[in-house]
Amino acid sequence: MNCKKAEEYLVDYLYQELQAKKTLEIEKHLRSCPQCAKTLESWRAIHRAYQRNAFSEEPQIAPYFKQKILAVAEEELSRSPSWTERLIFAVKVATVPLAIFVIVLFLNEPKKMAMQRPQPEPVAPATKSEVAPDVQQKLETPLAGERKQDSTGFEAKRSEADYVDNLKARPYDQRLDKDLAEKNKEAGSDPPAGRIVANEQAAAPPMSAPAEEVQQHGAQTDYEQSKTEAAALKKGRIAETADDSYRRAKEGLDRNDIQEWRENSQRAVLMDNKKTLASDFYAAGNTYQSRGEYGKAIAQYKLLQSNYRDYHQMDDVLLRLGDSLAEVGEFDEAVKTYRQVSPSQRRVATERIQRLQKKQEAQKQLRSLGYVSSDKDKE
Amino acid sequence: MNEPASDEVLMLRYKDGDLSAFEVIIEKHQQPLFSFVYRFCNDYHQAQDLVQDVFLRLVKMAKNYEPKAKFTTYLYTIAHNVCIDYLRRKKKRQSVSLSDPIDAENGMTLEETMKDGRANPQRDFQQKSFEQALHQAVEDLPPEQREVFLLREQQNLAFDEIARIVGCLPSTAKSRMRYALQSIREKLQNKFSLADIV
Repeated sequence: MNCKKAEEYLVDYLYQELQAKKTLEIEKHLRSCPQCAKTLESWRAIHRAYQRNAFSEEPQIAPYFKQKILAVAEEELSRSPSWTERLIFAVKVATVPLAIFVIVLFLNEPKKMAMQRPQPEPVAPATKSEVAPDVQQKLETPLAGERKQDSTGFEAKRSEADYVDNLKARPYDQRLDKDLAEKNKEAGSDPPAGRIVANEQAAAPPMSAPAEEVQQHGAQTDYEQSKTEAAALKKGRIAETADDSYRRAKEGLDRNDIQEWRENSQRAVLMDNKKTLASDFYAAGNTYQSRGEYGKAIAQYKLLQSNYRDYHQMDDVLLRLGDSLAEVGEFDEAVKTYRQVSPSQRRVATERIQRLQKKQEAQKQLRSLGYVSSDKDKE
Repeated sequence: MNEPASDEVLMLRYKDGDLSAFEVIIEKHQQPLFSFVYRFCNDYHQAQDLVQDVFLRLVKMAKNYEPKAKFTTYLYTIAHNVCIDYLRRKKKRQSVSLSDPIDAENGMTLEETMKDGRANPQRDFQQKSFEQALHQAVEDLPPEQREVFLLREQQNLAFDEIARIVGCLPSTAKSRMRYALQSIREKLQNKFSLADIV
């Protein structure tokens, strides 16, 4: 074995994936070639060093991660198939009788042609063996829909990406639907159908003019929700673009109109496809916090927390949310929030948790000594 | 005593409606998968998002799941696709470089934020420098070499499996690994002696 050949097998040898015969050959070469032996030694050193260091201080995944995925997994289990999935299934099921029909048609065709000829010549009719390979090939060729799966059963990447987008949007959509349902109930109108359910309906009724208007403005709506939103638009309670909705939400909050803030902020988030409003919510939250309006600050931060997970200032949002919660006496929730901070800021979060716990302890002691009256006593 | 169920069995159970089976899968794979993706993209929040995407795709594909290949191959193939998509998006945007600090606000790198619990400061410093250099050398690898290196070293997958995941021949996977090791060796040898590495 020469050096070039040895180098080819060196990686297999290092990771013990080489056959016994080749192993002996390479070991023989390594004994006689210091250059290759040195290369192997350095690779082995890297392997050992990486094994030693790689997992020693690896950043940890966020603690809430599992719950987040489980929530989606649970939702997926209870989800009925969408109309596109049903359609694909129907096409797959229909393939079998269609294939049988094609076979029968192909088998009968030569006989018919032979009968229709005016002067039958002594030509042998098409036999089953001549037709079958052609038909067999047609049977074996997958339909366009079926080509989405490769040999290991993975679906086409495009459909995966679309699905992930839908999944990401769903929890928020459902909350919005619930809110809209409550709102309609109060107003005495029919509750809107859920977004997911309505999207799965194969034949939606024709859109009314206001509904079309909403869709033209870029909102992703189904018929029922469009109707509800169009009615809300007419009343002037919600705005047409993400920026308008955000502005109205903020104005609502400044006026202490929680209902208007809630409707418009949720709508702003829904329409904010480019995720540009995160910094606005963040800035508003900081302003409220600096003014001591902790309730409003909490509202902004919570909205960010649940809808802009990948916002680059998320750690600061969580720390500020924790601080604001602590200010209004929600100590347990504040601690929970601090614990969601990523490892890069965990030291800061731990310090705040400890400070909060000391504060709680001090309050308890003062209360037990009678220096501070409990809330009930005050009342 | 009952053997713990294999990942393939757990996936089939989840497909049949058993959510607790999927919980076991998440618990078992979330951290190794996160480590792989984190080392691939070198961004904590981005890695979190990418791992989330991997699991969401897994959830979606569960109803069509058939245990044709090993579950890890299946899972890491999804991760490979997610990472490649991410690289394409990143290339389009020409955004942050791999060597940028992970925390934009205080400019700290991940290594700087790691805890220091040992007694010998000089040895610690050398050790830390070496760890940093090793991780940096891995980060500097071209994506296709880095991916094979991480799948082999971090996930301990065989080259046949790696080849299926990244969609190449086993010989190509091995040659990428060879180039990766060679490149890391050259980078480390500039700063450390072989004795340091061993």
